[in-house]
Amino acid sequence: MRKRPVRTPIRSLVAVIMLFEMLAFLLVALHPERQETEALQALGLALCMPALCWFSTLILPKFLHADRLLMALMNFLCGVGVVILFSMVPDRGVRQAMFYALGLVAMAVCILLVRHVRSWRALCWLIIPAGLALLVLPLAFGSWQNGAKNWVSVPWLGSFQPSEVVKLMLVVVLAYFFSAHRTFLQMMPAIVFTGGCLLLLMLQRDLGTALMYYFTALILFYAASGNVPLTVLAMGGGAGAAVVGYNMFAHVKVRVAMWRNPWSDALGSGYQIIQALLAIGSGGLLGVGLGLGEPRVIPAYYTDFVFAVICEQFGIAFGVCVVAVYVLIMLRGLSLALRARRSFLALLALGCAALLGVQTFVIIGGVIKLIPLTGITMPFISYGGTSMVSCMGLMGFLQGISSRVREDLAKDIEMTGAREEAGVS
Amino acid sequence: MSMRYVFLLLALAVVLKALRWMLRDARLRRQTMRRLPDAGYIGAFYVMSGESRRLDAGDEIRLPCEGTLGSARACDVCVLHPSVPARAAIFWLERDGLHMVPADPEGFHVDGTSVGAGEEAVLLHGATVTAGEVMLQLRLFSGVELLGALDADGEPYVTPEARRRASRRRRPGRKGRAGRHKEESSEAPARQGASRSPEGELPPGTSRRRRTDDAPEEGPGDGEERRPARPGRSGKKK
Amino acid sequence: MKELRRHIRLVGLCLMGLFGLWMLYFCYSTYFYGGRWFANPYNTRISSKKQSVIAGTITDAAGEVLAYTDAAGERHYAQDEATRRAVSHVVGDDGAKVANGVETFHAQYLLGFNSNVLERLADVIRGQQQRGDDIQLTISAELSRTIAEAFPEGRLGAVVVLNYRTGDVLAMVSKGDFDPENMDEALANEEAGALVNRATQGLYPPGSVFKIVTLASALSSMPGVEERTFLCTGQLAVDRSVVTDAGDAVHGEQTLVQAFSNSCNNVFASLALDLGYQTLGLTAQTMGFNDNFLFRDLVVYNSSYPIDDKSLDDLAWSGVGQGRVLVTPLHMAMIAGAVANDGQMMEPRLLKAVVTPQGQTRSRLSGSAVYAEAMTPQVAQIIADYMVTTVQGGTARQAAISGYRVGGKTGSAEASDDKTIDTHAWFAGFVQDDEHPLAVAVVVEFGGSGGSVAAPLARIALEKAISLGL
Repeated sequence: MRKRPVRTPIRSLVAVIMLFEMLAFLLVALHPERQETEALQALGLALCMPALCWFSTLILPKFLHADRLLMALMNFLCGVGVVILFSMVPDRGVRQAMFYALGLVAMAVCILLVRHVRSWRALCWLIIPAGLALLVLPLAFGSWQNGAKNWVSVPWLGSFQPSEVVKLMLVVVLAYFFSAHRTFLQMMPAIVFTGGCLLLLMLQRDLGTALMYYFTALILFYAASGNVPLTVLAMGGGAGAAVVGYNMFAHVKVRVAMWRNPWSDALGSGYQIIQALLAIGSGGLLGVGLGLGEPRVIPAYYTDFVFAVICEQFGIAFGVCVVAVYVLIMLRGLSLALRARRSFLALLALGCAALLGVQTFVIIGGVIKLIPLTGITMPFISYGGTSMVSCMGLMGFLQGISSRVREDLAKDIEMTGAREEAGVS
Repeated sequence: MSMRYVFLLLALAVVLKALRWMLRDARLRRQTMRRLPDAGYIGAFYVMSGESRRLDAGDEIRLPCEGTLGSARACDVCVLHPSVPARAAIFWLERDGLHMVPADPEGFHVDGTSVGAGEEAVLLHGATVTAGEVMLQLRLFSGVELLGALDADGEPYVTPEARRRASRRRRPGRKGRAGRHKEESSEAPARQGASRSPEGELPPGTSRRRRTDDAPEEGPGDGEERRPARPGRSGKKK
Repeated sequence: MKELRRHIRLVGLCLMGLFGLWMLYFCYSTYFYGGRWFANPYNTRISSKKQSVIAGTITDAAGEVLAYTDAAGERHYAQDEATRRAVSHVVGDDGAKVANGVETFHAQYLLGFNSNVLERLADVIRGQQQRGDDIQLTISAELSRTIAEAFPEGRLGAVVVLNYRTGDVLAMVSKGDFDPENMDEALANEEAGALVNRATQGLYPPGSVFKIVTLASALSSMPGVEERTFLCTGQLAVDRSVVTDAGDAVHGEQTLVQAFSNSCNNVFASLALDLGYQTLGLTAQTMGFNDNFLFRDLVVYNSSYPIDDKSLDDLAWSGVGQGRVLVTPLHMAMIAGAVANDGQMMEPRLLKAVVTPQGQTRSRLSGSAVYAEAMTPQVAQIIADYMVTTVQGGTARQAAISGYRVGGKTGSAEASDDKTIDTHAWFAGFVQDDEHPLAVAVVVEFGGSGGSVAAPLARIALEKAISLGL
């Protein structure tokens, strides 16, 4: 038994994050062109955000047995998101902060789910029809926006994106049906569900989300079965679908053409990516400064292109740090997957980590013109209630798994202790 | 002194601290794992018969709560015998015992009964599995609880005869892959509740097949799939 | 579970690889293209910044003011019109109509984008307007004026003078020019593409000045070619065409140096055929053809030497700089400079110093850099001697300057199949002198013969540069 208490790095990390949020909001509040009400809001956030950060990282994990590092990193990203959004459009910033608080609740729910659900089988069979029904909603009731029909207007909450919620369901269903002791036939329900989701997403023209779902399913399939020929076949199928989509959908053709040479239609379809690149270039290594620069010139600056705005205002080096934080979260999720004792938990952790990683990669790849643009959002930073809530739900899963892993380890320590007592070991 | 530098420094601090934290966790985990070599394992398979160049009778192969059994190196229970197929069976632990399904058309035998494709066997402490020419006996670690398999004393199922024999025996441990376990059981024979069953003889046939009207409980919070019981055959799942 | 863990590790590695790829691409594209994205005309940040910042002053190497912002916030240029027109393309204009003039391309300095937030906030509080950085260019306004004056009246073209040791651009005059003080007039008249900087963005067929490249290729890959004698019959039959010489001249038996000095097409076309596309193309690429020029200080369009094994005719004509070969005057000056500089081609520099409003010099501008090792020192020496011979007794006689070792090559590049249209007059050469390390390239569109139109202009430019001590 160790005598001295083990000092965790949690306090210093939380202190740094709180300091960052406070300084950023103060700077935003003191901006000379800031109006009274907005400045007050900024000051309020300068107090609330660090407080929420401190609460969720130091107090909440005591009750929920959550992983504090993941909490801290997630808080950092959310903080960056709220600050950037607030400095551009204060209204959105405040709403994003509210979504953040809501997301914490969703995260707590997901943690409890992972820890306490006994009968995953029943839950999964419930989820499959529910998920498909949710995805049908926008087709039935939604309206076309930016060439995609993936939003539904809920009277009280505002607009709601079902594909984000179905993301969580997908990962659970895939993990459950792919867990180790299954034959290919038994995996079929998950595969059929994934296929159904992809089809519905294609009908909605939400191709970015479809891409995300597809890669996650592929990764989980390979991890669970290790069947290289089938995986390669599935990849080929995906490539074939991509080609078909390219030929079928006009806007995909436009996106690919703009990826190869956006300057050819600089004021039309290439405008988005060009403005994003210009913003990144204008920022330079250290950025033009918080609250400065001209982010509003970029269309969708508060959802898909927040990364370009971050690079403009905070600098490219800071942008690289933000991406590093995403990578760290993904790594933590992967290490959780390696430590889990049950294949279901391992696959769930892998699914969450892969989902986050793929989503982040697709969006930041699109912003710097590494791959064509898609219409998905950046986890934690993009403005959007459902997006924020679902990403925090994914984190909730990861933290639930983390707490289970720690429980198992504690039981092992106990067992060893008991055996030592009994003089056996 | 510009704010730009401050924010960048803070971001770098966050990244570096998080990285250091992860490395520290990894280091602590390694230390813990060294202290607990049995961590993650729920028991061991004891080789009762079937020798090969790399396998001796009396060897013990530890098993995790989920995994595969076979002669391939990638299997969790690696039985290095040529007659054992590369991937013979897949097993996982549930509340009512260790479930095992064959991964090979050959199948395997549990306590003499053959388990073929599409069937599922439930093993309790002391059950024997025969894959190829190797016979293995399942020994669960103390602390692994199985519902329905506990007798009144809270011990895994053991016949009174075996218990008496063990209390009289003081045998030095045979060399095995997990020699430590050997010594444990010889030093503390048949202590109530805290020891594993003594080595060697255990009554066969302690695997419990699924009965048609039995409805075993779900595992400790993992809820693996339960097979629907089919009437007609006792024990094996189609 | 072991298998599952192994697969998870593999997947993890792949995902890390993806992010690593992203990181590399991000760093690469922002490092090389970041400045260009910023200076892009579609970047509204520049024009809106101009409202609130006093743009810095642009001066030439001697300190003469070329552009400044007055007290009322208006942008003005040099005092007299001749200077304004002479440096119009280098300096650019206020409204970013001239792509890549210093006003636009280096707006990040002129508009103070590199200053920090607190300073800016302090300025606002104090009520002072923010000032951008001042830029000192490497060019000489006086030299530019002289060149512009001497340029044939009514003709279009460009003249570039470089310091071949450091790569500093000493003059970059592009004709037709415009007056930045009267932009409306320039735009309304649309004077034959006056807003295009022909020195860096004009792609011309080089004609005989390309023989420098062919010569370099022959010297490096054909041993003993210097001692060979060649026979020029006035007509070299290739696949489907016949290579002739200017004025249907027949040179008879020549050594290599004589062929170069006489600018004999027959000999060089046959050399090109002997070398082949691969070898000649490789030499051209070593000298910068087909390369994507990403210079720090200026934008230069890429010169092209197409290597696609099309036809033997193309190959033969490419050896004498016709066919599909295209080059900018700046690049030609760089090639001439490389010959004089022992084979080292320096990166062209335009910015001499950038000074902050507080008086500090920005250290980010590093000094001269070698762009490419265009040829070995031995080959460069030989070519330099040949070029000096050309000036002493060959086609470039009119470029000679007494007391200095001047080398050069003339060219009369055909611009169309119509024989009634005049050729482009070219000259590329140097003054090989440690105190005046100058390289020059001249092109006069449809000017006629290189020897009689371009060479004298080059002499005037070089003499003036020497007299200014450059």
